Amino acid sequence: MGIAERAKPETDPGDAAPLASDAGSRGAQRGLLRALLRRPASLLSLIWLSAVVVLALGAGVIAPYGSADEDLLHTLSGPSSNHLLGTDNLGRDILSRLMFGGRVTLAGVLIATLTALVLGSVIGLLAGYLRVAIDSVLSAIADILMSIPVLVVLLSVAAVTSRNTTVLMLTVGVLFSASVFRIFRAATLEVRQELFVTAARTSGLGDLAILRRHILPRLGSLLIIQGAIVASVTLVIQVGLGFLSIDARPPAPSWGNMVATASQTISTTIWPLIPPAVVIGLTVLAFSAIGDVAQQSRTGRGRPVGLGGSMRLVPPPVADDLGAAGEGSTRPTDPAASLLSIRALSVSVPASASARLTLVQGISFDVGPGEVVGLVGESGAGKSITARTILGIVAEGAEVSGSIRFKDTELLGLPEKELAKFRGTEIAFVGQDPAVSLSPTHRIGAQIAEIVRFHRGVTRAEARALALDLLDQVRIPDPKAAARLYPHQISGGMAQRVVIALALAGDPKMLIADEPTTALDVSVQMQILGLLKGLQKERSLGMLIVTHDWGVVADVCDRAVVMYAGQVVEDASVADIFERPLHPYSSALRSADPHLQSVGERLRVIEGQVPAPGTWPSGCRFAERCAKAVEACRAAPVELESRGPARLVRCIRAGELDMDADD
Amino acid sequence: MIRLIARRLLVSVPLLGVVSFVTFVLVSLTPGNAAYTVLGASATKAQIASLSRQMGLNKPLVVQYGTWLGHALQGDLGRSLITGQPVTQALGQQLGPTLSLVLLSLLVTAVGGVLLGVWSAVRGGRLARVIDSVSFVGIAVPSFILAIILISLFVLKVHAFPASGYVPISQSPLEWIRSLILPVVALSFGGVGIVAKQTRAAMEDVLAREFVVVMRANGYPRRSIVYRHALKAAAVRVLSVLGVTFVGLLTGAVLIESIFSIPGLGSLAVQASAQSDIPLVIGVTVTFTLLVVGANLLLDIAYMALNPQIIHR
Amino acid sequence: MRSPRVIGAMVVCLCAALSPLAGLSAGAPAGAAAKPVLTMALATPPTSLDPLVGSGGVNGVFQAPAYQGLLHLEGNGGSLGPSLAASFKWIGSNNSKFQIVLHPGLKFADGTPLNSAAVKTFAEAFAAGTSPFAYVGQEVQSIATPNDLTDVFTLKAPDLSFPTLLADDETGLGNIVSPQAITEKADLQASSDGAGPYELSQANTVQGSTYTFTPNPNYFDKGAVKYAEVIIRVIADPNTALAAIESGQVQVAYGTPDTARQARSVGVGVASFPGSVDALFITDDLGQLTPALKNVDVRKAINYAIDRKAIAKAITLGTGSPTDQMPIPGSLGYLASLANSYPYNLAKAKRLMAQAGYAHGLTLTITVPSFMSQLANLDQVLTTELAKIGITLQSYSGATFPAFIALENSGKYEGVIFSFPFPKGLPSTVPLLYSPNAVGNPRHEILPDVLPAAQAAEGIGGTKGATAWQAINKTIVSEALEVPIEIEPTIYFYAKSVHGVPQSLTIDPDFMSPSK
Repeated sequence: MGIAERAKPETDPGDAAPLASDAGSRGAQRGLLRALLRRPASLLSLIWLSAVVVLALGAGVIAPYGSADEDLLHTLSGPSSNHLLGTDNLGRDILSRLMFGGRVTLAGVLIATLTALVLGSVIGLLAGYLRVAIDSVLSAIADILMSIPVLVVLLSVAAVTSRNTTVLMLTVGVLFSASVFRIFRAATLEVRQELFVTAARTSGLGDLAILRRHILPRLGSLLIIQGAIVASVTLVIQVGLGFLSIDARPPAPSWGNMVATASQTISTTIWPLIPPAVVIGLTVLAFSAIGDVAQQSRTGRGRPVGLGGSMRLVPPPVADDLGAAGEGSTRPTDPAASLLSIRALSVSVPASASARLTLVQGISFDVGPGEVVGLVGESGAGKSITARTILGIVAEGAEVSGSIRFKDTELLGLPEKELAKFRGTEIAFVGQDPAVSLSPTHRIGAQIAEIVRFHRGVTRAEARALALDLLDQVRIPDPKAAARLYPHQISGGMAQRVVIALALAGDPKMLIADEPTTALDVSVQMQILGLLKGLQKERSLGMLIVTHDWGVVADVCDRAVVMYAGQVVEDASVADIFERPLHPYSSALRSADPHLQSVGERLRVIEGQVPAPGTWPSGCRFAERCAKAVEACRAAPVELESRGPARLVRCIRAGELDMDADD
Repeated sequence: MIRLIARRLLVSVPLLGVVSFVTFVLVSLTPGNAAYTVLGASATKAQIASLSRQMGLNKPLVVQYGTWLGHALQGDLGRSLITGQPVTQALGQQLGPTLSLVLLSLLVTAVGGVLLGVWSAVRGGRLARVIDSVSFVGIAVPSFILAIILISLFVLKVHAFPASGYVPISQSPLEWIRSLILPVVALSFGGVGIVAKQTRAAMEDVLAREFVVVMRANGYPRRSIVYRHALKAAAVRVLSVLGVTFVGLLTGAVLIESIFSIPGLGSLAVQASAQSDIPLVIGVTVTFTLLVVGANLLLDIAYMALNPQIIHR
Repeated sequence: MRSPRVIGAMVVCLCAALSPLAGLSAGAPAGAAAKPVLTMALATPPTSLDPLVGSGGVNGVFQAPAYQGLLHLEGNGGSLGPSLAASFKWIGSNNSKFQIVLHPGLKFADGTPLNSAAVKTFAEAFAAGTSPFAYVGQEVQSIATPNDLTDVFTLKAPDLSFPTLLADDETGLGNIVSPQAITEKADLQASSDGAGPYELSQANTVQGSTYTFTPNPNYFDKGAVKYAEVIIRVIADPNTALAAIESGQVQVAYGTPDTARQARSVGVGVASFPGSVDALFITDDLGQLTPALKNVDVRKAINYAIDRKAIAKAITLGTGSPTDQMPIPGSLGYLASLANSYPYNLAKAKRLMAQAGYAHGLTLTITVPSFMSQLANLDQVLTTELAKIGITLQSYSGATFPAFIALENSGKYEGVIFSFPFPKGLPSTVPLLYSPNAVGNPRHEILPDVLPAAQAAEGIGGTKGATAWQAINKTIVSEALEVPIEIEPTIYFYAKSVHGVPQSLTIDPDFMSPSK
């Protein structure tokens, strides 16, 4: 039954976690109200609840009949002009009884909800904030309260108090305060950890002041969420009590005893059951919808990329700002000789119901067999999206145009099933953060063996042996022991080795490594890079490394493809680009690289930020941050042009500038 | 792991103490007198007084509770005031139907809720919306209202199911199932919605994690990613929902058993409470609490089995 | 006191084979010789299975299979016949000495001989017990046992209805318990030890929900034991009970007017007998709790404030009829001229209230057996109607028979809504409502206008007796001691496999072992 809804308070996602990211306090609450009013589900719910409350309170004036007015000659009649919702077994007007009955039921819900909220939030707040010894005692009490079978206890209470609704619903409130307590305790703990509280503490504010100024305002929206959840649950309990005829004394109506009354006559007609059932259902729904919307507006949860969905292949945009077609023709390398050949790749995702956001625009580059290409740029350039699009891993609703050829196959437009055949066996992938790249609940050995078995179709035992072999290849000492470990038990560097082993399981021809060392310690970074490079040489893998680290490019790459704001701005051999970058951005990146700067020199950084997708200027996208920009740069879209053998640059001043000069 | 179980058991001791004591106090406040209930209507005052003394009803409440507790620890929960039957025997007789009902409902809730939740998380789109609506309806219609509707449709209109009662599985497995189908549907419907919703949220969170991308990019089959890896990672959250759902199912069983005339602990609770049968009320409450404790314990063990981070540190 | 909705109360003779489902569910062995299983449904469990502790009402149904009376009441309020006693007669002419002669060789289920001494032991134990009907046993001055088979009861006062009390219905005085069980204080809540055709099967009984009886090997008339098992199930909801009959789970169940239509439409057997009076019984006529009730004007006002016609139509869905008196037409004490003594008249009711000094109203607390849905509905209607003359009715409902009896007997309430079948008229009504220790008199009131007259009438037979009872009835109505409302039919549902429409409203062993 609905009481199982107690589940919600303790488990809903983002109970506390999003608090940390909740910047404003009052502002957030106003935002919550606005969200409640804007979303149709919650707006309708609010309207419904207001209507129910008004009708219940105003029943004495509005209701067409008294709650107990009987018309014994017209019992169990269906809806009619005299009785809009018909009459019950004693000829009483169902509509009027619903209105009057709402008073009993809603009052019960109000009592229980307020009790639960006040008790739960205050004690939760204190327990979470003070963190004293009583905290564990309180938590134990909450555990106890949450384990008590509510209705059974209520039956005893009912027997004692001869169905005193107020006492019963107070009891319900006390029992449910436990779940509210948990949420508030966790949330307060979270807020408390935050720096500014610590700062506030050191700045000499008293506990009360901190609570009042910093913590309470943030918990306000939590109160609304919890209130809605508790209300939806206690409503069901209240109605259940009414059904067992332990709330209002007949003939006084309550929603619950109306259901009980209707149930007596279901063999004659089911009609009298319908109105109370619908009203109860809608009211429960209204409460839980408000809770849901409030929750979502706090956590800002949308549909995650997740498994992603099907991407949609669309025709390339008409050569508007950037001549996608033109770019292909300017490619110097021969796509036929490449392992991977990307042409005029654009990716866009839905930003809202009507608008789309272009993330990557007209990208073209090649990776030859055994060649290591670095996809370089700051975050927001579209590197990772490009890399993942190659494997067909895009956000739900993404639209892609252009061409991605692997060997002889056009990958773009392949159905998911076909595309899946390339993953792991032809092209493999190593992710950014090894700590979260492995399935947390399975042993390492099993994870690798699983994919080995899948790709190579061997027996379980063989797969296990091959997995150990792979672990050995990525230079994990004592692979047997390692195979038995869970991902959380190993270090980041080791985890990345495991991920690499896993990527090699299908014996791929090409490896895409998305920032493979970013999350690691500097010393480990070198080892992993060394490992990647070694494996690449051994197996003569084509490799695409996504990185923002110029040092990585220098260490392992043959070519560098520099991206900026969704475009390729320079494509050159590593030797060329290090010796003489032609694009001011490449030059700036190189200068900003800490590895290349000499000791004592002021650390150079690139001022400003990459413009976000959707805010890209029509001219050169780097112009805003470019020291060498002139008016012409901003005038029109800049084309990617060939500058010497196997070299492309997107800069109108590429020929005239000496990048190393400081102007 | 043992520490965790020990902790849970340790919490259970005060839990049982609190529950039994509170119930004890509550029911002893009930109007009427146990001796009176035992003796029947035309007992004289002297008879009642004498039996009251005999039953220790004139002693302080705490002493009475102590006596009860002493006996309870030896497995003696007293005798029903109405039927004179040992409480433990009554509980034993009526435990089976309740367990059948609640465990079957839990199974349906778990399997149904998890499957729907996973499907809606994985497929999204229209299916997700359909599943959302189903869970919405499940949350909106209290189980006992659904039970009445089911009886009206499937028992009174279409005679598809027996109306009431319970057939022990030992007597006829087929009839056992038949007698439980409607009650289980009524009881688990709402739970399925809640579990589906929570599973979906948990799955969406897990599916958004990087390891899913890595696995997918390296060719792990979708089925394995969803059911073997993501679901297991989401399972801890799903389990905690199921744990709370179990408590809810026990509560719901009270109403459902009464409606379907199933001779279980729930109808026993309603009857005992209506008749102020004190020892029985306490016995039922303690048994319900024990069930919750047991469920929590199983849940903890399941947590550990599913979440390696707890044991393998 | 007996609930009319109590189903066991019927004579059912199961001639045709039971439906296969019922046979299956009861696990009866297949084959022509196999005896069927009879399953009945009741709305509430009993207060006790022990005739010495709780008898009468619903209890009787649960005790009937295992216990048998000395005499047997035949038909609907009909004549007395032999049962365990082979013959019986009044001795002398003043209706205070009654003799019975037992069948030879009778035994209780435990094997103890059922002789005159055993009857004496039981009757004395019953009178000393705590049954709500113990007062019936207390009418007996002494019991003589001239020989092994003969008992002679000497009454304290003449009482023509005494033989009826020895029949196995009504009060429980007929439910003879083995002396062995009495002396050894056997646990008769969990087992049975009587001379009835069946005995309680402890293993297959779940107290409060399912009571299973198996044949008593020592029963004297083996041929009369027709069933392999008799099962009584507690099904509170009338819709569920009806559905249980439809599906063959149950063969006999009580019915309500609400469910009767559906029952007819699906072809379930419906037996309807006129006969029980739904009333608000005022238990505080002397005004010890609420002084206003001592005032006859207040009691009359209550009677005038009730729209009996509309109630009879709504609550019984037209199957019942309004009434202003306790006896039903044709029974002892009925007086046609009393019909419509209190026509619905709000103005008059208000006037009477004002006249009595209660123009501003008053509050009455009453108890209601809410397991009987019509009475729960009646309670609601009365609450509404009495509110119109300023009387606030506060009802406390008992959801099961034991819960209701506990409330009712606490003596804390001024009234009780109940429904009595009084086929024999006032001779059974008056003791139940006005005897100082009667279950219907929880405040132990002694009403000077009724009790002595009734005690006198009990000893008079014939037309004279009838006139005396009519006079008592007139007193009760004119003083508005009670608030009779409607005569309601007693409705039974039965499966088509069960033959023999109920003949009697009493708990009658016929349906279990027709001995004739």
